[in-house]
Amino acid sequence: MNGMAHKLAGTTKGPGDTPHEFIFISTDPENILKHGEYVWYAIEKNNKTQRVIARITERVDAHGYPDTFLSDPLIAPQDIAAIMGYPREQSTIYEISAAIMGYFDTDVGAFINPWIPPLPGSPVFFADSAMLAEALSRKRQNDIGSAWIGDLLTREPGDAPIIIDMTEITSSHLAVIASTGSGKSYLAGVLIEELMRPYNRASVLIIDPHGEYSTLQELTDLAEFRAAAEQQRTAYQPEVRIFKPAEVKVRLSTLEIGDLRYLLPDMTEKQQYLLEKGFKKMTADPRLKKKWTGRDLIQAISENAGGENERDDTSTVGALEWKIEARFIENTLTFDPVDHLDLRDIFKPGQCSVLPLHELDDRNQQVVAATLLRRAFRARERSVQKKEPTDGDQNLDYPIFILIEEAHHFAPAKADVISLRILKQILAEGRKFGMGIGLISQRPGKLDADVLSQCQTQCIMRIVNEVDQNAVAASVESVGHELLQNLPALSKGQVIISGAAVNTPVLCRVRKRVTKHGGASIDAPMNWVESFNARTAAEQRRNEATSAPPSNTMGIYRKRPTP
Amino acid sequence: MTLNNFADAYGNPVGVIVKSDSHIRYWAQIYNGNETVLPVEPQEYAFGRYVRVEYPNTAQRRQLIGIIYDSMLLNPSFGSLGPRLASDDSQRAIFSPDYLSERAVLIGIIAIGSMEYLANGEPSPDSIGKEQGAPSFAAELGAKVFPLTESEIYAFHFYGESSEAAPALHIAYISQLLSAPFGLLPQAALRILDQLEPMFPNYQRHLKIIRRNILWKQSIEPAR
Ligand SMILES: Nc1ncnc2c1ncn2[C@@H]1O[C@H](COP(=O)(O)OP(=O)(O)OP(=O)(O)O)[C@@H](O)[C@H]1O
Ligand SMILES: [Mg+2]
Repeated sequence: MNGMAHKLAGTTKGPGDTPHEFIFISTDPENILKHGEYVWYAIEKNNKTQRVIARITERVDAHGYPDTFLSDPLIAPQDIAAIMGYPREQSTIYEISAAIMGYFDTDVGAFINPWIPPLPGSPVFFADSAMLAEALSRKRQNDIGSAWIGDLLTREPGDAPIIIDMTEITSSHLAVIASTGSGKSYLAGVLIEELMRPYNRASVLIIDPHGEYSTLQELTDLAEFRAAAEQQRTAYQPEVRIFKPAEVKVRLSTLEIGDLRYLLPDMTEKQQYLLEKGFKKMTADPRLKKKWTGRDLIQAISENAGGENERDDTSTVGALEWKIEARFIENTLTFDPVDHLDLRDIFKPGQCSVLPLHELDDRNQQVVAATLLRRAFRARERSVQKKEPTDGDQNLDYPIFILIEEAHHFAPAKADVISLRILKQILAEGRKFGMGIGLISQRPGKLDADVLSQCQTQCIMRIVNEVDQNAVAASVESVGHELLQNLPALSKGQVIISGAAVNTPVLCRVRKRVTKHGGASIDAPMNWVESFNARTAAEQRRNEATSAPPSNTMGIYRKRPTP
Repeated sequence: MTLNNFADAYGNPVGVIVKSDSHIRYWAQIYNGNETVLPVEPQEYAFGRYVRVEYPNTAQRRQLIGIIYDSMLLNPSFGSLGPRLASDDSQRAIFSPDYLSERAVLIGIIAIGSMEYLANGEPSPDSIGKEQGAPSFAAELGAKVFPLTESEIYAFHFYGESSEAAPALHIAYISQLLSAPFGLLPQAALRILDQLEPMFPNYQRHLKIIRRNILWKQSIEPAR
């Protein structure tokens, strides 16, 4: 190892507050030893020199000025020090704490903590960007399964790219958590772009309650992607399918009794009992099992009712029928006896599907998500277990990834929501069946804690709310307390990535998107001004049309008689 | 007040070095009327004054620079309580002249650096030839002590026009005065600020802060 080529950062003073911290001293003339920066020291391990990387966690001015030096805002304390014989150019010495991450073992693919702090007096080096790019990221750019998310925040853009491991994300799940407006959807867009690159060609579905992902359509016509495909001599061009709200249908026969109970709220015990009985009877009929209507269900219930307390039943049945009618017969927008989303239309390698749910009410959104997740999960399960398709549904022969926006809405804490159970099952077992979930939420505190902790990769952005900060701290073990302290200070587009997809938690600046971002906040004053101007212009035209002299010689318009 | 030639710079000595406690602490005996033509005025060896002490080889034109930070009166008959022949100096000069010459005023000088003089007797105009802090060479016994003129004081502290790298004013020895363990140095430091303030009008705010810092350490911090 050529020691001279490395940039010296300082000299070790001794151990720090905790066993994995040490303190070094530096004058830091270039002002590069910022909070969150990386340094390294050398140790001998098995006759090999290893570079142990450490992250700067604290930086204190060891030579602080007396308060009186700061008492005149017009006079810099450095000048006073200079007068007193302390040269201006070395007016500060920093005592810098660094947390030891370990040396990167390429065989193990992980950081190994050597449990040896640097010796007092030994040199500490500044970690160069190339070394960091290699040690922090799991994959190399353009590898299969790689995703270029952005760059290391403390370095110049482009110096140290952060490449995360999509293989991990699509099998052990992802959570993107941040306060509103911090750039979650923007980051999700970046992830999708990466998933659709020629070297990933993923099969992705976005459950989009706000209808903000339609700009991904641009992916199908990007010169950048075409060029990459040409370079690899394939004709790959990603497909993007944005479903129309009218296409988002649920076939009634895919509903289970739990879904029915959820969709028909506030039932009495008796009504529930009758519903279950009727449902069982109806689905026992092989003809109806695969294709029933709201009327079939009502009929099954009323046929089944009766018995000991017949008189009671009539009113109960009537109320229940009314509920079923309102949900499944009058509201035909979502539920249909035959039509539903075709799994093979939604999931295709190299295709990103967007399911906009913004025209549905909360419960319908949840049921649409739940039934679709369930069908997809069963399809994958059967494919992996080499079973034939049942229930008239298809199998899916390739892994899939589903990104869920507003995840707290589908997996809330302290509320019984129909989509929660299937989500929990997929998060727990999805790895076996090649089904990955990405959850996006601005309220981690309102997200089910189990669900959150099942996501093995976390992208955490700016979080101001203390409840949400605590929720993150409680369920995200991979990020240290010290890193989480930065949460309120992060700016838009800055993210802490931690967990399975990176080698170590890392602070990253999200890269620019190649497609336009669709979730931008609405500029209200701009809209007001525009619509005001449009209205006055229209009024003016109207006034002109009625008061202006005829513009044609044919005299179709007669001049208004002036009063 | 400028120095026209080197001889002027010599002015009138106020005394000679008679003892040292260390490399930077000296005692000088003030001339009494018998040794000089002109009697030495008390303000010439007042507390806090800058002095220079000539090195034996004056051809080098380097002088030790110091500050008067203490004084002492020597009285050989202290402790002998026998009957006195005379009750005042006019009678003593007649009856016992030896006795008078053995009484002496000593001043404590702390060395704060050294400065070179040009051939024309002017002190070096910029940072060249100046050292602030402990001087490289000690003073010798018998070396003459001169009070510093105002222009010499200015020259000792002026390190060239102020720049990005350094200010014009240098008082690098001041922390030495503040950190030394003997009592009167901080007061001496305040006295030298009194002298420097009118000489460096551009640095009055800086000097005020330094003064405030010393005053705080002197008067408030011990009371806390
Ligand atoms: N990395 C980035 N670079 C540039 N602009 C960004 C970046 N991240 C976010 N923005 C901008 O910030 C705004 C908010 O981002 P975004 O819509 O992703 O926030 P969000 O966290 O999804 O908010 P919400 O909770 O409301 O959905 C958008 O206008 C977006 O263009
Ligand atoms: Mg969003």
